[in-house]
Amino acid sequence: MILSDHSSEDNCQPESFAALVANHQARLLGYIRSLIGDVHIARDVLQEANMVLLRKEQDFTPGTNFTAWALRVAYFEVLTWRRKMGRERLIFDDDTVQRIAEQAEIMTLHEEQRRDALKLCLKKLPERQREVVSQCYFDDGSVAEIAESSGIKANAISQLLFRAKRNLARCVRQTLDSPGVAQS
Amino acid sequence: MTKADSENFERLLGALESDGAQGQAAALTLNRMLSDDDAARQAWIDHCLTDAMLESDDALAEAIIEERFPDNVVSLPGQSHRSHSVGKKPKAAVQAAGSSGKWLAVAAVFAGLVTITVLVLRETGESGSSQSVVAEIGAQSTSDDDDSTPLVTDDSAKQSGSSDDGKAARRSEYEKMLLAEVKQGSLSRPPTPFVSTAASSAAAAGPAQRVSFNRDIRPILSDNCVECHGPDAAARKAELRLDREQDAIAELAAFQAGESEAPIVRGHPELSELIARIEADDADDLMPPPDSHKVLTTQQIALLKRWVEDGAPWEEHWAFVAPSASMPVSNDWAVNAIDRFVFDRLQQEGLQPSPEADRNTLIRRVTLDLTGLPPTPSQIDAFLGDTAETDSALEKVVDRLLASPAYGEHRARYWLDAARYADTHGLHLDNYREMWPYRDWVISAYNNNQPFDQFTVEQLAGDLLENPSQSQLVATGFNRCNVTTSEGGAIEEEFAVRYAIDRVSTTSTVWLGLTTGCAQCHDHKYDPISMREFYQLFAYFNNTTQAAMDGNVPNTPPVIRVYPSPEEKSDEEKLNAAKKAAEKKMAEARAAAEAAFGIWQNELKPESVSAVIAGTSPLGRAVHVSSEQLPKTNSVDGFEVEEGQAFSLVARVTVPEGNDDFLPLASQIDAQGRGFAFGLDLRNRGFELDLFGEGGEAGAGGVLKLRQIHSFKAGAKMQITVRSDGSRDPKGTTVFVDDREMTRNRYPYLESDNLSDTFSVADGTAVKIQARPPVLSELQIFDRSLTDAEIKSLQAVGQLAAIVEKPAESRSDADTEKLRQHFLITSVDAYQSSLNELAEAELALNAFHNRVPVSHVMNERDSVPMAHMLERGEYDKKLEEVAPGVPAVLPSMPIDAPQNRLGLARWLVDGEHPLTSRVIVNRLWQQLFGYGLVKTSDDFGTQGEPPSHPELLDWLAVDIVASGWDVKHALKQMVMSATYRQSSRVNPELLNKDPHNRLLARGPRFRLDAEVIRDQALAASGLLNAEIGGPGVRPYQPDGLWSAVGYTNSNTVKFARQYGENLYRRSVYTFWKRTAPPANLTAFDAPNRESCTVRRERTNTPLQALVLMNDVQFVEAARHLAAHGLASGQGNAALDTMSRRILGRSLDSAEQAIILESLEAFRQTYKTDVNAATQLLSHGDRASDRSHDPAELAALTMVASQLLNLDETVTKN
Repeated sequence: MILSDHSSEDNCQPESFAALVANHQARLLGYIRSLIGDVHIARDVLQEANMVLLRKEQDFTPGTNFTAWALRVAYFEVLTWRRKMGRERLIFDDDTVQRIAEQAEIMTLHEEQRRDALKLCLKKLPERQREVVSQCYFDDGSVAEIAESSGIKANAISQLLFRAKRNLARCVRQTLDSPGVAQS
Repeated sequence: MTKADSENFERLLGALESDGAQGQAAALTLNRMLSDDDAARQAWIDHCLTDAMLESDDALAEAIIEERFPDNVVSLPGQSHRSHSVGKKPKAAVQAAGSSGKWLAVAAVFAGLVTITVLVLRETGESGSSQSVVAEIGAQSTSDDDDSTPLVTDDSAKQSGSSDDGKAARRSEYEKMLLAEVKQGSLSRPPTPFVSTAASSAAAAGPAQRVSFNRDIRPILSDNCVECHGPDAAARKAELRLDREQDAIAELAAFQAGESEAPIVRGHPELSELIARIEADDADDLMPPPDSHKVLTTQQIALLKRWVEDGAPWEEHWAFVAPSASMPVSNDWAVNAIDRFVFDRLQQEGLQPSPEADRNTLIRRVTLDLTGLPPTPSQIDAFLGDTAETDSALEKVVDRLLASPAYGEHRARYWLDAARYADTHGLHLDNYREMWPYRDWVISAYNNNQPFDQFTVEQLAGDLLENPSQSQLVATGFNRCNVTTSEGGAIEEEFAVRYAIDRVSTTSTVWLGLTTGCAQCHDHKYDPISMREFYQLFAYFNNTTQAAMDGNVPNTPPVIRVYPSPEEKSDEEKLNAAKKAAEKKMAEARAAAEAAFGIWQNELKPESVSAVIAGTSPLGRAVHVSSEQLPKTNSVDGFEVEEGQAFSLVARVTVPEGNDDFLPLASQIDAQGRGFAFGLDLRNRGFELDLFGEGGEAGAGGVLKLRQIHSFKAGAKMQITVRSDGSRDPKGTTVFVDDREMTRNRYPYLESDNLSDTFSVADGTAVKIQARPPVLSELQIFDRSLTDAEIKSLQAVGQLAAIVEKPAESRSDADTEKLRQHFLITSVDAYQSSLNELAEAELALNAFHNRVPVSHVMNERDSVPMAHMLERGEYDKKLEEVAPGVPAVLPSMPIDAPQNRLGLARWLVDGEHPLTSRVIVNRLWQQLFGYGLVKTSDDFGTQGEPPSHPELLDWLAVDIVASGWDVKHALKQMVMSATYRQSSRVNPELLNKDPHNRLLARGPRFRLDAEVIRDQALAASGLLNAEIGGPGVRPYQPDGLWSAVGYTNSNTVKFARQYGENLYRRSVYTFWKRTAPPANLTAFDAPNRESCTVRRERTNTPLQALVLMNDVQFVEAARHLAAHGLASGQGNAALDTMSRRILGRSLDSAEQAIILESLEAFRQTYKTDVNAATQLLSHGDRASDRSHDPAELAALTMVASQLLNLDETVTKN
């Protein structure tokens, strides 16, 4: 598999190593989660991967493909976690992990497009859905907190978030698939 | 990905979060979908990446927040401002776990992603921002309209700019929108995909009929409400119970006075919260809640309203109220009481009973039902020729059948399913368990028509009766039939708990018709059985002396010997007395010879050692390799073994380290490959003796392998003796370690046996020595069978040399004793003769014990039965201790009843018990009619199906108790009824109205059970061996079925079929290995007997036809059926005989024509290919009359095979 040299944001000027790691958090989390399934565990494994990345700073040659390297590190962290877990706690078998990893590696290349699509799609959300999404994600508000402050039952907030995210997901995929968007 | 797949995804992603089996299943499904579907994988990764971006991509957050909230403040109406400073967001940090609702959201997002392939995006470009309308193509579009929610709505455009509005206004606007959204969600619930049978029967009630609580309302509450508002205190929501009248229903006055908040107000649906909730528009208020995926139909809601309006009459669950017999008026059709109830119900349904079946059908039906065998042609003729009214003619037949021993065999088979009877332990090695005396007890109890109450008490508590008889003890085997283990590492306490749980579940299912199993972890969700009450039942079975590990032996204590007759017991006593007498004489002889031994010992010199040894070797030794010779000897001259000649191998060995299956010691194999090999099985700490026929192990002569396992410890030094009588019978071989006979498994087990008839070794064959000191230090082979005394002496001799070399004063007592033994055996005649007497007595006792079986029984500890409640049923999570007791909803235990299994058993058959009698008659009904009056014969609880004829069930229950629990009486009444005697012919209208014949407007018709199909073929072909009882038999079965599931050191890993009469025994006697039950029976839904089964599945698979066409048992039966045909004539005459034997009737002319045509085609085939005919006729051991022309017999055999395959043959009509 060939990865493009640098992700676009890396191109303008050399970033500090720590900044590179920071800028890759979202895609690393998404990548790890796609291999593990559970988002909470994925966050923990991301922490492990971050520590490895920071420890291995010397191993990384500036100017080479950071994304590919970081994904590789994350992949090994996932394998380490899988070894530690009992087989019964794993959601995916070895073959499936392998396949997801290959596909996810390619899909993380469209980070910019995905972000643009997401921005666009957030704009398209009905106001009430957008509010809940931003409460939940950009304010880090829990459903319970939002419920408490808005006086609406948590169940109803969840339902709303449910629909918002479904709409977003469809819209993002549509946008990425539409001919106007370059496939990297 | 299909629509169904995507819906699956939604569910399974939700399920992923749960830890239990649900989450496991979801994980498996997700893995499967992602492993082979690119689109699914893309959707999944999309979802993960997008969600992660939303969660932790700072660039996105920045962009969004700056764009939408230029003042960099995010606020929700009414909320105190929560500032979000993008720059301060911690880099590379893990955020705290988000909302609890996220997984729900995930499910939604994902569902959206996977359905996107069928979505059409329509651009409706307007005012700069493109407005997308997502319209879904698919069946769900009308019912799930929020899928098509436009991404942008008009008011959202207005809202985005309204940040100046007052907080209050914004808040109320926002709330309104949220509520609108929520309401929309609740209205778009998917319609329920299934309609419960209870609902449909209730709907059939129509406006005229009163709503019945038990028939119409309880099932609705039980299925939809009680899981959260029922008996399980831990799962109960809102402290609300809908399973008890006092909690569920308020009187109007009490409600108005505010004294009761019960959700149902008698007579006032408009005041009843329950009605408001089931009709609520708001998802928050709606019950059952949308996320339960339970939806009430409009019919169900209407029924509930009508019931409340009618005053909400409450009834106790029918099965917990003692039955009371009422008798409807008679009618012209009715033969006995049963028919009155059935007729009444048919009248209500506007149906008429069917006419009586013809006598051919009737006698076959009743004979199969009562005996599990087909009627013989002469029995049919007698019935057809009986000029009496059908009533009395049939009664004669029924009485004859009930008196036949086949009756008990057939009834026992149903009971053995319930008792989970089998011939192996069931877990791990799945070794042999000697248990068959219990099976024979059940058969004889039915044949003696033992009253069901006694039958119950003896099985559950025979050991607790005063002076229990042998038979009453054997009966307690019921509770010893459960699966057990002896696996290394298994935790004893855990298995002891599992056994007790199994016993509670089995007892509950068999007598109470209740599923109690779930109460081991929590209060029952539907039935009023608390966790505490479960452990009170558990306590009854928690007081056994049985060890948790079965030891892999056939006789796990407590067991008893089962003497065929009292005389045999006295035989054993005589043998024991003879043994004692011989021992006494030996002691006397020993005392008398003490002085002589002293003199002999004093004169003993080291020089005389070799003389001592030489003088004590038994006669006839053919091979002797001493320890001095062994290191340099590869082979020695052997000897001829003639057919049937005995021989003995004696080896002195030191067991080495290692894990080999077979470490060879010595072998003698002639040029033709015939011979024996003898070695150690280190893995199983045992020995193996292989006898090879011509060609050696892989040759045509076959091999017989004997194995004796678990006989010594690693590192042991010992003398091994293998004594063979030269036969292929494993009982003819005995293994000794030193002078001890290995009797743990009685005799070595036969690992494989396809040796050609006899065993022999050619003269002049060398014995190959395959081990060296220290592993092998001496080898002797004798061309005869050694006596026990000789073996003992040899063992002593082996140690004599070393002892004699020691100075007399440094010999230990044990050394001296060995010398004394040697002296006594070789020099004292009186001792020798008493030793021989002892050996004879012991041999006779061994032979006796081989003949008299053991059976597993229950034995109570002295202590009072108690049990700890166990958290989630886990053996090591002990909670409070409880005493034995019975569930409060059932009749209470009499105060003076014994606090043990005896008390429990008597309570079950008290006669007042609401369940036992109903459960029993229902199962008898099920055996005859295919379905019980309560279809869920294993569940009479609130989740079970209510009875189709409640009054009939009650009447039968009361009647069987009144008859003195007379099972034959109950069955006779059922088979004599007009209901049973109806023709099973059905018209499309009736079939449509009542596919399973629950209304009984026709006679029973269903596929015969596995055992009946096999027994019928054996009986019709004249092969059946009617012998009753005895050890399990092993008829034909494909090779390898046992080894496929077996551990190599299991004593049931190799299936060795039997020969002769045992091939043709009734199926109830077939050896039942739990991990590989008889294949030709399981193909027809026989259970594996791992747990209690009171209701078999009844499936149709192509395998069944393949069994009937190809299984040796059936091919052989077809040949014999054909031979019977040929014996009576050619062509039509032959066919008629065959048809009458198997179908119980003659063929009509149309059928004859078809079959003759088929016969003619087969004739042509076999006339031109005689080899094929011979080959077909070669299947099965039992020869048929050789005078028949092979081609004709083969052709008719194929026709017979077709007859055995007929739908009519495998169906009770």
